[in-house]
Amino acid sequence: MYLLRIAARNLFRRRRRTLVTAGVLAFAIIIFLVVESMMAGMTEISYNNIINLESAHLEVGREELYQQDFESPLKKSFYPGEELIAEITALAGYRNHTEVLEFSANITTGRDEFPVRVRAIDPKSFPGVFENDDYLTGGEFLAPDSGGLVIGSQLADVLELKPGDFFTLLFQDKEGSFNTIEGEIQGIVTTPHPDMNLSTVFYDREQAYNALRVEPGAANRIMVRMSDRETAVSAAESLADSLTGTGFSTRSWEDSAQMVKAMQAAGRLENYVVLGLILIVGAIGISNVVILAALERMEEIGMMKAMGLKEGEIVGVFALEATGIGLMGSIIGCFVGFISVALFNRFGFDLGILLGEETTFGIPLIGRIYGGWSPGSFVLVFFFGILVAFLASIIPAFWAARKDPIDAIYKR
Amino acid sequence: MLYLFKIALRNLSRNKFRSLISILAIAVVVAIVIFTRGLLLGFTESSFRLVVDNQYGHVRITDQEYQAREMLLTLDHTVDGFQGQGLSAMLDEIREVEGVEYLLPRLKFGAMASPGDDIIRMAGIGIDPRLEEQHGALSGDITEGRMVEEGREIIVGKGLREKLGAEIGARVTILFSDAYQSFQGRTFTIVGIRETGVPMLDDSLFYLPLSEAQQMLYLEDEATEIMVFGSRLREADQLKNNITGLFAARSGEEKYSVLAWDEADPLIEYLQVGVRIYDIIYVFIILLGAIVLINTMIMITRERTAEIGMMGALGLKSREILQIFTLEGAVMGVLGSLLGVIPGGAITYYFSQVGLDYYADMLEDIDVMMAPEIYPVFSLENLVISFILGAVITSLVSIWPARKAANLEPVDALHREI
Repeated sequence: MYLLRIAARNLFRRRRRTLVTAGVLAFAIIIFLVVESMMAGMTEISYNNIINLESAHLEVGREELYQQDFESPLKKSFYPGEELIAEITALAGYRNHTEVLEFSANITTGRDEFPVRVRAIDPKSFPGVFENDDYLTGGEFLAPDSGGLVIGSQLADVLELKPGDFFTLLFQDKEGSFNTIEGEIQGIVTTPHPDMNLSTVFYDREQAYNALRVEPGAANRIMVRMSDRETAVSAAESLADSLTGTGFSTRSWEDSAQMVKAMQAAGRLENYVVLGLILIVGAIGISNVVILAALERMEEIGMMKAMGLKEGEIVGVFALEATGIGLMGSIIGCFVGFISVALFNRFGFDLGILLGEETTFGIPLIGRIYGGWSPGSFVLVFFFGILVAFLASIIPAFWAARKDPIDAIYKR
Repeated sequence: MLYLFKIALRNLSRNKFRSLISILAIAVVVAIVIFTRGLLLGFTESSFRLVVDNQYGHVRITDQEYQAREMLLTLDHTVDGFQGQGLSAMLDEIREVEGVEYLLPRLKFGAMASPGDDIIRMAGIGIDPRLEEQHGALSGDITEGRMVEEGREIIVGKGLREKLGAEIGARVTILFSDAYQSFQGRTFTIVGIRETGVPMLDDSLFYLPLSEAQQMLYLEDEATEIMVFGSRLREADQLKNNITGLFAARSGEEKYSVLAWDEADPLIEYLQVGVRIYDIIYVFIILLGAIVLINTMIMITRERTAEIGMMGALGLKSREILQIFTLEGAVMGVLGSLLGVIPGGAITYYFSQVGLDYYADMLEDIDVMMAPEIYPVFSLENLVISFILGAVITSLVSIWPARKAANLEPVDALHREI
C-alpha cells in the first residue's frame, strides 16, 4: 500500500510526460475500438442484407443442389411434400416459409442481353420471408396472377429499362431445350444489397411452370424465416440431422455469408496487427518514461535503499508507476472510444462518400453504415493496455533498481 | 557548426541507455513504415498491373457508348476506325503517335457453351496473338499448352476449364450471338490454359485469335477496344493527351473515348485515395515514435539547465544552443531511422519472397481485380524514402524541446540550479 502511494505520487510529478505517454496507448485503443465497431456494424448490416434479401435464415433443397457440378438447378426441382413442410414448420423458432424456383437465364431487350438469376416466387408467401418488396422504387411488386418481371435498379440502368417495357428471358428448360418467357417489366427495386440490384430478377412461379417444363407446384429451394439468426443456425443443424437419408439437405444463412465472414476475419486480423504495432511504440514510450524517471530520481532510489527498501520493492514502485500510465491510457482510450463509437452508431457514415454509389466490390451492402457495439473488445483492450504498460516497465525497472545510487550520485 | 556537432555527439553518449531507447523507438516506427509501405505498394501495384494488363492498358480507346454498356458485352458500339474506315488503318495512325509503344486491339463478346445438358456462360476475347506475345502478360500466365495462333483455337481460364470438364486438345462448341443478333455456334480446340489466381479472370474468360472472332461475329476490321501501351505507366496522362490530339485532328473525338488507365475504373481511384490516406498515416506513426524522443529531450534540457546557463554565460548565442540540442535530437532520429531500415527491410524482403495470402478466401465471391496473394515490394526506393521520412520528421520535431533550452536566460538557468 505504501509502495502504491509512492508510485501514485510519482505518476503526477511529470504530468505532461505521463499524459503524452498514456496518450499513445489511448490512441491505439481508440483506433482499435472504432475499427472494431465499424466492422461489427458492416458485418451486421451485411448479414441482414443477405438474410432479408437473398438467402433467408435457412433453406431446404435436394442434396444435389448444393453440389458444385454446374448443372441446371431446374433439374433439382421437386414437389415439396407435406411431410417435408411439416418437418420445417415444426422447427423451434419457425416463422414463415416460401417456395422458390430458381434458374439462370439471359434477359434480352432488343439488342442487348445480360445473364441473370431468375427467382420464380410465390407472391403470397414471399413477403413473409423476404423484404425485397419493401425496396420498390418504381412500378409494382409481384402479386398473384401478375405476369410481369421485377428487376433491380442497376439492371434497369444498364439495359435502360422502365416499368412497362418488354423483356425476353432466354433459358434452358428442365429438358434442356431453349425456351423463352416474354412479358413486361412490372417493378424496379433498389435494395441495399448490390447483387440483388443487378443480377437477380423476380417472376411469378405460377406463370413459369409451363415454359420451364416443371410440374406445377415444384420448387428447388424452400426458404425459411426464423425468429433470429442464432436459432436459425441451430435449427439448420438439427434439420440437417433429421433430413439425412431423405435426399434433402439444408443450408443456413451462415453458408451464404462465407464471404462476409472471411472479410471480417481478414479485417479483424488487420486491426489486431495495427493495435499491436501502435502498442509496441507505446511500450517503448513507457520503458523510456521509467528510465527517465529513474535517472531523475537517482538520489531518491538511494534514499529508498538506505531506508531499507528491497530491490524488489523498488522495482515494484517503478512498475506500479508504469502500470498507472497504462491504466490512464486505457481509461482515456476506452472513454474516448466509447464516445466515438456512440457517435458512429448514432449518426453512421455514408459509404458512398468513400466508395461511390454503385461500386461496392462485392460487399453486400450499399449506403450508410452504422457502428456496432462489441463490449468484449472494450474489456479486452482495457486490460491489454494495462498489461502492455506493466510488461514494458519490468526490464527498465530492474535496471533502475540495480543502479548503485552512491556511484550515480558521486558521478554527478 | 562542426564544433557544435561535436558537443551534440558528446552529449549523446553521456547517457547511452537513454539515447538508445529513443533511437530504438524511432527504429521501430521506421521499420513499421517500411513494411506497411511495402505491403501497400505490393497490393496496389499488383492490382494496378492486373487492371492495366487485362482491362485498360496504359490508355484505352473505346466507343463512347461502349463505356457505359461494357458490362453487357455489347457489339453495337465497336471501334471501326475514323469515319468507319476500318480498325487496321486506325491502328496504323495511332502507332505513329508520339510515345506509343504498341497496341493491343481486343474484341470482347458474350458466349455460352453447353458441354453436357447445361449452359456455361463466358466471355470471349479476340486477341492478336503476335501483339499479345510482345506484351507478354497473357502469354506469361499460360500454365499449360501454348498461345493461340490462328483459326479455331482457344485458351481458357483454369476455372472455366474445370467447368467445361475439358483438357488441352479437347474440342468445345461455343454458342454466341453475332453482330446481327443471330445465334451461332463454332467448335474450337483448347490449346492452352491460363491461370492468374484471380477468379474474375480464370472462371469465365477464353481467348481466341482476333481474326477468327472478327470473322465469326461479322465484325471484319473492328474491335471493341484498343489498349495502348507506352513506355511507362507514369506517363499515361501524356500518352492520353497525345492520342486525344490525333483523335481531335481526325474528328474522332465525338465518337470515341480515350481514357487513361486510372480514369477508367473506380477501384483504381479508390486505391489511390487509400494510398494518399496512408501517406498521412506514415507521418503519424513516426510522430508517435517521436513522442519518446521529445520526452527524452525535455528531460535532457532540464538536466542540463546549469550547463545551458554556462554556455550562455560563455557567449554562445541562443541560436547556437538551439543548434546543439536540435543536432542531438536529429542524430538520434537519423541513427534510429538508419537502424529501422535493417529490420524493416528484412521483414519486407522476407514477405516479398513468400507472399501474404490472408484474404484469399474473401476473393472467391468478389468481382474485383485483386491478386489472391500480396507480395510486398522490396525496393531501395522504399527504404530510402522511409529513412528520409523518419530522419526529417524526427529532426523537425526535436526543434521544439531545443527551443525551450535556447530560450532560457543564462542567469535564470544558473540561478535555478542553486
